[in-house]
Amino acid sequence: MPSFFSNKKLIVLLTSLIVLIALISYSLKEGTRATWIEQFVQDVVGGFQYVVNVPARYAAGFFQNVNDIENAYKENKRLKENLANYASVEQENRDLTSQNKELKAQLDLKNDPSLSDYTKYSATLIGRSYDQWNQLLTLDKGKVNGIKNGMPVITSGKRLIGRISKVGNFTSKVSLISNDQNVNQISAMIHPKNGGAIFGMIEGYDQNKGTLLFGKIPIKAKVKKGQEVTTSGLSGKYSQGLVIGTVTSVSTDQYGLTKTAQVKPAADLDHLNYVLVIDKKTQVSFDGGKGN
Amino acid sequence: MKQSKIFILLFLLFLIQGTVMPLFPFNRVGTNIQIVPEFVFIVLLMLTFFGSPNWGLKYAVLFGFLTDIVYASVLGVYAFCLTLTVYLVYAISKWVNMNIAMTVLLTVAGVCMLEFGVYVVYLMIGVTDQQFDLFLQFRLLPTICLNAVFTMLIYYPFRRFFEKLSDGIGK
Repeated sequence: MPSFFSNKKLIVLLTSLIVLIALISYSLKEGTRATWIEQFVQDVVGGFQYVVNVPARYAAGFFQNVNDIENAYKENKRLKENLANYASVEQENRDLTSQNKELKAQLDLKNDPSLSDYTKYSATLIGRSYDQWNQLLTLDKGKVNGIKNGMPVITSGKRLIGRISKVGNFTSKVSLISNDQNVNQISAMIHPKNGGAIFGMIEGYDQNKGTLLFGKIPIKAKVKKGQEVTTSGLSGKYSQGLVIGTVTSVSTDQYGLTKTAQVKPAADLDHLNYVLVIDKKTQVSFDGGKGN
Repeated sequence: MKQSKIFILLFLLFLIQGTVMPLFPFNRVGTNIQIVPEFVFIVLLMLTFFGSPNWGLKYAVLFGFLTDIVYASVLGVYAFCLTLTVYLVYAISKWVNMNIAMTVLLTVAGVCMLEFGVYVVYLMIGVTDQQFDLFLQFRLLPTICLNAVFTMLIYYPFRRFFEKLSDGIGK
């Protein structure tokens, strides 16, 4: 009768367990850069992914179109209602822009780019982790195109979806904000209509509810359902004013010292096709913040 | 030549898992439901059943590492779990009479073992914090359904293909 594990097989198993643990501890080390082997494999596979992805997107686009036609009528109705406000908002915007320019000129800030200035690189999604524990995307742009580690990634409407976690020469990987591992420490804020900004940190992601945890909010702050959460740009990693999501519920944290809000991501993280990688023009100097 | 045929087949499925499957709307049914395609794993199992177990294990290591590098953030987890599961299921398959029902049963058992193995490791190192009952309900069940259907679809053509191949190379 053949046994499940003979002596030799046991040794192989134990050796591979040791190798496994070594590899895990290596890749969990903070701020690890992709080794050349990883970069090479990622780039080669990326090339094939690109080829497979083009026809697949066309096919999937067809389903999307059918869906869109169904929704078009409802959307049209809603948009017409919104359009009534458009003219007044535009006028207001123009006034504010000119006013802002004047004030900046007075303050001599003209050549000093603000925190919200950035350059954009557009990229196409060519792959995505199929097990939904790793929330990673593969993009078709890499070092050659100017992508660097740690750059924020957004979709249309400045909605934040994640940041670059590993760069190859021709491809790069994005770690989504829904990724449990490195979601921590996006400095965020709420700008209420009246009163000052409320600052806090995005600290985690709840996979079951599909919401981000917006923690470290001062206990006295008036956070309400429906308020918009944006990046504050204070940490120097994300530009200012990228939309993270809207508050869905607020609770006091377990020690009763701060508040925690549930934030529904503004971007639809499940259906992404084209994204923008942004690079800040001003590089705020920070040396200590390695990795996350 | 025959080696490369198998490799191309597996690599194509590997690409489909990551690029084609996330595009299609079948995971839009509910926000919680996670359907994971494990096509490469299923074909690897069929290769060990009907073709050459030796190659099956080698390709398991190779595609495990590819998955780790391309689709995961932590190296080694898939390589280890995939190879171990393929080996264990192969060991069981030696004692049973292979037909379509048995193959589907064994692949389903294999998918459970693989998902569970990866889940335990990921839970320990903090890649996921999914609760166990949610894992069973929203992830394992739909995943099993998809992969069982896939196994039934590919059973006859792939069995013929692998048996023809194994005649040439010997076990």
